[in-house]
Amino acid sequence: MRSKRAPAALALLVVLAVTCAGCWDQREISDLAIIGALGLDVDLNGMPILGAEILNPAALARGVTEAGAAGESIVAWMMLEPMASYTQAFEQISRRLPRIPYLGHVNMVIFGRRAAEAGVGPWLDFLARTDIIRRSIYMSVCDTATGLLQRPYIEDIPSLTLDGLARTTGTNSMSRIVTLNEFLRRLAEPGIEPIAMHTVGRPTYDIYVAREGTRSVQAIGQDGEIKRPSGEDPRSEVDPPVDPRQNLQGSGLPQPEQTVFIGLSVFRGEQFVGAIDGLEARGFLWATGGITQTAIAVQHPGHPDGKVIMHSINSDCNYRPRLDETGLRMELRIKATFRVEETTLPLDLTDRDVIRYLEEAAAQVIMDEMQQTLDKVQLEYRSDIYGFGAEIHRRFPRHWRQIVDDWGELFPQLPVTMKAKATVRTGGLILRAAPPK
Amino acid sequence: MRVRQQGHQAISARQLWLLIAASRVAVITATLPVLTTGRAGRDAWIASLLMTLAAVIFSVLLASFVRRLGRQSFAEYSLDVWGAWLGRAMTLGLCGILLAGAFAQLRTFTDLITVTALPNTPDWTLSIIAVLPPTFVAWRGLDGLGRSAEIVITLLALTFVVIFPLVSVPELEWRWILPVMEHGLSPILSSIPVGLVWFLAFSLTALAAYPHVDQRQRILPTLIMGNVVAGAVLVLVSIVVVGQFGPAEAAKLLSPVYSLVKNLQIGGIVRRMEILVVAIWVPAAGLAGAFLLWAAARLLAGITSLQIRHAVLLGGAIVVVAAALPHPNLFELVTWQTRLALPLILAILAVIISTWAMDLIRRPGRHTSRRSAGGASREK
Repeated sequence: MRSKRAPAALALLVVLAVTCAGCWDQREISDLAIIGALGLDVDLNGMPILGAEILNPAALARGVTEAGAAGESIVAWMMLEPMASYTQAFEQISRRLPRIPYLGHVNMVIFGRRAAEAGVGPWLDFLARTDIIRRSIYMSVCDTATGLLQRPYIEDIPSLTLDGLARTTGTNSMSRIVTLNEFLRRLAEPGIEPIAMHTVGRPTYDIYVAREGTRSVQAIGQDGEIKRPSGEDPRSEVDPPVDPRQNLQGSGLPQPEQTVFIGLSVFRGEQFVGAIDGLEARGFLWATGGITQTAIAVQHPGHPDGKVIMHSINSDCNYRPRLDETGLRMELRIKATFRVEETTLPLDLTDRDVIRYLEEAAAQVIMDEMQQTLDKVQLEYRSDIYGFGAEIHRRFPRHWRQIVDDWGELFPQLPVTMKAKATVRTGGLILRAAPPK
Repeated sequence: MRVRQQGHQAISARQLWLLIAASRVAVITATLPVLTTGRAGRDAWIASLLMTLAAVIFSVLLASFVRRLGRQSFAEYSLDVWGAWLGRAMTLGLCGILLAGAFAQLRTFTDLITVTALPNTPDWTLSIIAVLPPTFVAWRGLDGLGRSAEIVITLLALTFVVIFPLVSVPELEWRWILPVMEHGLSPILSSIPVGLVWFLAFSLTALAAYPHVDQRQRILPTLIMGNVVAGAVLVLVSIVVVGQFGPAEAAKLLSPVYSLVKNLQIGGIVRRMEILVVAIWVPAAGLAGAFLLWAAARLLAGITSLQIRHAVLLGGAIVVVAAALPHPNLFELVTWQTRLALPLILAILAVIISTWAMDLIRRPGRHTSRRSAGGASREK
């Protein structure tokens, strides 16, 4: 008797588990509108605009070219909605979307420049609170978020362009991935300010949204027309949708309104205060240990017109706050290792003096770049994105308690000294280049 | 009072500490970090360490006490010491703590599931489904619980000890735990009771399980191991949570470990690790609930004429009814744990110490030696 009761009870539990759990939450994948990225802008009246990049899996499965031949080349739609809150905006979007908006595949949030300048604080709670969005999504600032999300390049899906750029930042070290988690952490902690990825290379536009009927274009569909009031700019239309194939067939040269360069955004609190781009961003990354691979050029030891290109292998930077009778100051000590990548004139790497010269020149380049960025961040942006305050907090907690409230004013005046040490480890397969005949 | 029990009601000392450790790890990884980081901030790991130390000291006290039980559980023992009514009242008090623990444990997990995976599923459905399997496992007896613990602790160890630090928490920065003790001991000490009450609750199960344990002379290392293993996990989790989110952000999170798990990825390829972790987490939580339920039922059977299995069903029914109610929700539970932790700890200590003292006063000659405790065989 007992032996029959246990399997029966187990069977009952299995039946209950199968029939009850998930019934209320089951959703067929064909019912979902998968959102790949979110963009936030503000219009001329200061109204926040939510842009949702909704993917078309059917077109993606076929590939853009094949889908285009079949007349189904729209790989994503931009749904735009004036936004009082995310939830209300999605409700409104769902009124004209025959599927359920699904945020589980959002891989980035892009703030338009004006929205970021106004402050991103009100728009972070939902991202942190909702379970469906991961904290590992990328945070970025762009001149116009919805503009970026209509510009596919190489990748079929526009947001994948930025995703790819983010993933390959390690090959140039002029930007780096910033996740929502890192942004929130920097925002919450005293003594360190947030950063985000930043896309540059396009003009800043204000976005004016007026839904004047549905319009679809070949590559990217959008349900609302994005316009800029006429008279302010000779271009009547802002951020026109672009056919990805157009880019592929192009020259490959940077195009002002299409090519995306990636750098870093600087925030003070929840407000965007500026961007650091190219070598400036690299100057920041030298100081924060964020360099993976990057190439620097130094003058050839034997000729002023020659260049030696060295590639970094690794780098590390330590902060050492000092507190004495002269006051508080910060010391940065960076160590970097390089390999000689190329040279425009013959170079003898067996000569110890040459190696020493290259190391000193590389160290000087690093310090110059770091100083340039530090000057901009300290004096112009006045934002402690380095986390000097947090480091002072760790080393001198008592002193930090005295200055924490005034740190925003003290940071620009903080004396910072730098010391760089570069090491040349290898020089490729050529030991001693012979001069040309 | 003679307890009517089903057969195969014995586990080894090793299984008992695995059971205690697995149950604690399930609980502490669900909500405890937020309770500790909320007050202690970047010193949460120190609070966890001190919590473990306090739990070990309590283990020594408890192990010395349970050796006096001989082949009895606390229920029969308290009847002997306190008499029928007071003994029953003491035991019922402990039953209440254990049942409340089982309820809090299962409610925490059902609410977490509601928040994270099944937001549209009615609470009562999830609650009933969450309570039934642990009730079934408890109904099957201590033997099954012990064997389940061997599997669950392995999976938990793999999850929290191997995956967290080694595979990858992408933005982990150890320096966030500095400076140490910036605000002194006060925030650390104030965060200890919340975690400690859970440590004590699972140690209390020894009062019920003791007569069913083989090698009873090893009860002290058993209890200490259960505490130390769980404490080590809590220290590790506290450091990782603060290192990942920063102390200020970690303090805001409902379940930092779940948020942490959502950030895990292996080599930038394998994501959605939370599915795997939750799949391990839920059975572990169920095991913890089942263990508390069994212990409560065992004590209840000791002071009534119920069989253990019937007492399990009664306890399960109480938990089901409580779990089907809309309140307390998870936020209220967190508040309750914070407010009630210290009174509960004091109550637990008062019950044990007063019973022990009363026994010494009334029966000064009674002493259960290690040899006599270890000589016990499996009870049928």
